[in-house]
Amino acid sequence: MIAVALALAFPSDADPLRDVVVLDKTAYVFRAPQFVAKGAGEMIWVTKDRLVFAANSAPETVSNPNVTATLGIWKNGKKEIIQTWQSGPRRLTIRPLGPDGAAVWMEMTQNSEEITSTEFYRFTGGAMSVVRTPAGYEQGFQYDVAGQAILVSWFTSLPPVDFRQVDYSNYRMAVYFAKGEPILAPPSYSVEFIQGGKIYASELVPLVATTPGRMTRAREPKFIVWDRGSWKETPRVAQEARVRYGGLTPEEERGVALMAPALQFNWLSQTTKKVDPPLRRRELWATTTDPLGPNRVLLSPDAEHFSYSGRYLAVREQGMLSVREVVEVPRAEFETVAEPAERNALVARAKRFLEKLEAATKPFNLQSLLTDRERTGFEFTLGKALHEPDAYKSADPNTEVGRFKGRYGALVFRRNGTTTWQKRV
Amino acid sequence: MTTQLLALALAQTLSPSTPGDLDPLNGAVVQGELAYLLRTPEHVSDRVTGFVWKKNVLIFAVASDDGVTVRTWGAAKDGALASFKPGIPVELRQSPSGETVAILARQGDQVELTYLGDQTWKKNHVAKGLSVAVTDAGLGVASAEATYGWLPNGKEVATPSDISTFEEGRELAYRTPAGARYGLVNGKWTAVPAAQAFEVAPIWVRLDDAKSGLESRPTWRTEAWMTSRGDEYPSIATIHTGVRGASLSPDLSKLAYDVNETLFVRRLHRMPKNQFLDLASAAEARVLLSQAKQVGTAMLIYGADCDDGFPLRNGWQTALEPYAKNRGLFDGFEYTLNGKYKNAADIENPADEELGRVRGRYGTAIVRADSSAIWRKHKP
Repeated sequence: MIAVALALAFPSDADPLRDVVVLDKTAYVFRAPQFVAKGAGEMIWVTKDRLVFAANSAPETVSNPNVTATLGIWKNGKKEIIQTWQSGPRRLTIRPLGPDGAAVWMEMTQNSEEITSTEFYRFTGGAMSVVRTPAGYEQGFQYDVAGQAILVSWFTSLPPVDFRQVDYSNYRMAVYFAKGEPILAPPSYSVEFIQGGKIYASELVPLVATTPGRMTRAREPKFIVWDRGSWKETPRVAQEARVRYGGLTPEEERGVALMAPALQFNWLSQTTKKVDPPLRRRELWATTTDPLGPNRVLLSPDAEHFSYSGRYLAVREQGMLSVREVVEVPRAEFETVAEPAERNALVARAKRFLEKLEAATKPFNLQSLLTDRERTGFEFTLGKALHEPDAYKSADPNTEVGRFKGRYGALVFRRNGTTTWQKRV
Repeated sequence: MTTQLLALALAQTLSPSTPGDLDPLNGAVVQGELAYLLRTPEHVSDRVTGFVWKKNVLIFAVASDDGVTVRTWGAAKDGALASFKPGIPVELRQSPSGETVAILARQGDQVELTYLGDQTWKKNHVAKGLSVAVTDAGLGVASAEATYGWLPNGKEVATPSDISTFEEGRELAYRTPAGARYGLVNGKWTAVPAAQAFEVAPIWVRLDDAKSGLESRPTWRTEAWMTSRGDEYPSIATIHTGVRGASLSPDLSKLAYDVNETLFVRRLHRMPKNQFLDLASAAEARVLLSQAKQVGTAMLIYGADCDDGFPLRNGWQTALEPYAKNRGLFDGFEYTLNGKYKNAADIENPADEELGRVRGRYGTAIVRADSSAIWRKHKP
């Protein structure tokens, strides 16, 4: 089971009808969000309660020379700004590094086509250090698929525009791990993958025209491996398995599967055609496999990014980053709170509906008295003969008007406002 | 290079006072000769239970384990206005133009009424059937025991005892049990037949119910939109989906909304319509040029892997998928080279040969066979 903060009482800053999913004997409660940062670009949990985030002050559609970029850490409700950059258009990107998730890399890219050098920031155990990469042209950043290193590539002289004329002898690639000096591949070699402490690279061979309209490699590429401090030639080695984002080995993947996380997070794409061009957004849901429920809760109707640490959920919505703590509450404890909360909510709905009937001057029409939302779970049981204001007002005060069906029971309400709660068994 | 020129062009269209966080493509409405653009959200507070506008100052209630506190945001000096013990429901009410605000805290028959006119007054009531009308011209209070009114300057006005209810609205007005309507005109209660008509605001907030999830047990949420009258483009902009409430300040300079009990404000920036069109056109060029260029690059990388061939007419999107960041890049892209050439080596001058294009509202982005992209502005 995932380790989530344990609580015996239902937290006061959560809504039992909106913020909870259950599974077996446990209720997972999403507490009220805590705001972290505005314009947050990226975030990553480095430990269960420690979040590193980057924030950019302008939306991506605007080319603005006055963007402010901020790097900060959030821990247990407290925020610390590590550094702020005021000048120049920049984007900060954070990537996890290392299988323990304890180190974070951050790259800073400039909104320009010719970058001559770039700074990296490495976090290890909460401390940050700056790494300046070598000068070059068209620097590229890649992320090793196993999440162990950042790969930086560049040309030592300006490359030609036509890719068919590229001379790869000017191409360099460096591998930056969480700690230590970078490992530089020989000229014209590109790192393919890192596995078992070894770095595998292949040679980039220029293309040549053979027959008109055909380009092929001038010769077969060579393969090298970085093993115990030096590069050696090797036959081509196949990567064992592409591991998924986040850097888990197949063994670790199996470990996760065995833990069988109770909480799942799912995306649901939505498109609205009210605006032109249509707007796409993604809903973020938390779900469990509980057959009775509540087994799904809408956490954000318009989330751009999320990250779950096992205790906290960080969500970026409209560029606003907030964190919600997830607490485990015994299901029985949750239900003692949820049932009266639902009953009170339905009593309030019944009262509002009775007020509408009292104020009505025309024959009752459910479509105009209640919105689609208000009609959810509602059954209008008032006899047809009483669907007229005068007849209604002269009817027996004990006449049943309608029923609201909820998850935990149904509320029957009468003209005089009295109600009966029929608990669902 | 094209991107740099565009950035330069955009920088030239922005006056020094134009904020840098505007999104003209999804966060603006035009009404008449003015455009209203939403700036990026600012966080006001977590755990907010309600909010209203007092002119341009936001008054909001925050819950904590110690109870509810009513605070201000945007005043010359922000701070707490009132605090209430845990368990007491606090209701905030504003007059239509935000001239006055009332804070009502009810506990059984006891009501603590805090009135914010030009200054702040407080009063405790023990009254049954208390009704309060918050108007731009003052506050009307009626209960079974007593009736009275307060003007914005705090002066109490004498009221007759045969008041049925005070009316919400611009004026301080009441109805008698017989239905006659009286309003305060030049300090005197005078029979007035109807309420003053409201002026139609150029822009306003629209809240729509929307559902997702299973039909049998849908999850409802409220979508908030900023809209204008609709005779200009754009006439609708997204504020946020899943709000509890949203409202514009009376002078239309700020917009407040709350999501999951967190309160945000987005400032509005006004600019002449012509300036907005330049800004929107430049922003669209940026977005569509980037899209066209990325699809073009994906085609060239595809070609490098496939003996310089171009993807086939059918299923070109699927063929390019491994070379593109996401499938959304293909939305709206017209593959104009489709079928014209089989191989890149057959193209005599790649810089002149169009690969494809993306049409926008203000112009068209065209990517050529050498993956260079150009922008063709639509004729006005």
